[in-house]
Amino acid sequence: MPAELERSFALFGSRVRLLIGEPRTDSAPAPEIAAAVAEAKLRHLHAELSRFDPDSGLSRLNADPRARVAVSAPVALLVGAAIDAAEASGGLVDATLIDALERCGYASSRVGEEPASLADAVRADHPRHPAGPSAVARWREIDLDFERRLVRRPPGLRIDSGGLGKGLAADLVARQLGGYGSFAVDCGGDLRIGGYDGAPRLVEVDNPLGPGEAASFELVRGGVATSGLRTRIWRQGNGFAHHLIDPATGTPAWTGLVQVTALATTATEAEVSAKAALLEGPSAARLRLADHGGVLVHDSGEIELVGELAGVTPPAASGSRQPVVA
Amino acid sequence: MDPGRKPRTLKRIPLRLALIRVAPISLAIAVLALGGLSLQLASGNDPALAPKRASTHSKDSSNSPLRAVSSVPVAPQSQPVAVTPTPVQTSTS
Repeated sequence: MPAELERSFALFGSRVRLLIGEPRTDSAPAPEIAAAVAEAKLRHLHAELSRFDPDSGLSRLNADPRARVAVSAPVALLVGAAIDAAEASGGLVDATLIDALERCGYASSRVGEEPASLADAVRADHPRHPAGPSAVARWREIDLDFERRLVRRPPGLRIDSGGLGKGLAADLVARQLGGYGSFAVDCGGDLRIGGYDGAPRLVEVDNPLGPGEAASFELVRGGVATSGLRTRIWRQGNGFAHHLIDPATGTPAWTGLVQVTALATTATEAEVSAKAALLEGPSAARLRLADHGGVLVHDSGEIELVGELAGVTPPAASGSRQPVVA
Repeated sequence: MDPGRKPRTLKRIPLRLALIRVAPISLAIAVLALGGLSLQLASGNDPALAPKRASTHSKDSSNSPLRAVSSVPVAPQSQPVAVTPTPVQTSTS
């Protein structure tokens, strides 16, 4: 039985993994060619959207002293996605918090740095409460003319790509893979899955507080994203800080959840849902993830399947397939 | 491009996506049995991932970010060979 072509490489401060099955249409080139094209596209997107690279399109936008700036297509897409994400999440997924991130200790990339212990962090004395939107909601000051690729914002207002960039990249690449029997685009844990054959694919959710996996399910097509504290957490003073900022306070959010995995139609939407759900805490997260399903990891270590996943038996336990279509 | 069309938000689901998005598990299995619904994502020079909120200057605010089109499957090049998809992992990074 032929296997999918697999290509993996470092990018987005993490790993990218491409899985491509056999062509199913006359116009689909060999999987090797599709993978090479996809990798080139992803490298271009990374070069444009990294806030840590001063030469990226995003960094040039953030540094531009003009109020209205012409941007590249990837940057325009990111800015549009950032605005949509803030609107859809009630301001929780806020891409204008770079100042707060830097005050918390995230001024430069933390790739290669050993994160602090999440288990120690959840035992520390951090009051738990849901995050809220920023009172000033500076994302509302961003205007985008997508057709002309013009961004208008107050000079000095910086936009962060965050996890949106990875989800967006996965979706953009997946658009070229519809002619293959199966595909998966994994951009640092943000997944876009699909394929002509409609075969279910096993998705395993990492457990940030213990060995093994938190959950697993089979997905036919859609997006999956995981937002959590584990990989970007560090000691700060006598406590801990991490990269998921509560827009209302400008400080790291401690909501009682340490990781959320969300399913959606696209990887971008899944990223927004996962981050918003983690920031709003368990009760609101269950409502947000009710439509497509998700996995909540509480800081107690409890793992909770919600929405469509609540009734799904893990394939390893039952031996039967209950595929999910996001 | 329709300048009068109200931009969508992530909360509103175009019907063409809703058909896929809310399909219950039983329907998904039935679809698989019938040979599947092909999601042909629009491609082209201009990315179809248009943001849902457009400025007052923008003409088009209506394009779906992912223009999914259900289509009749095209005859494959050769007899399809079944491939078991490789498992994937999702985690924070």
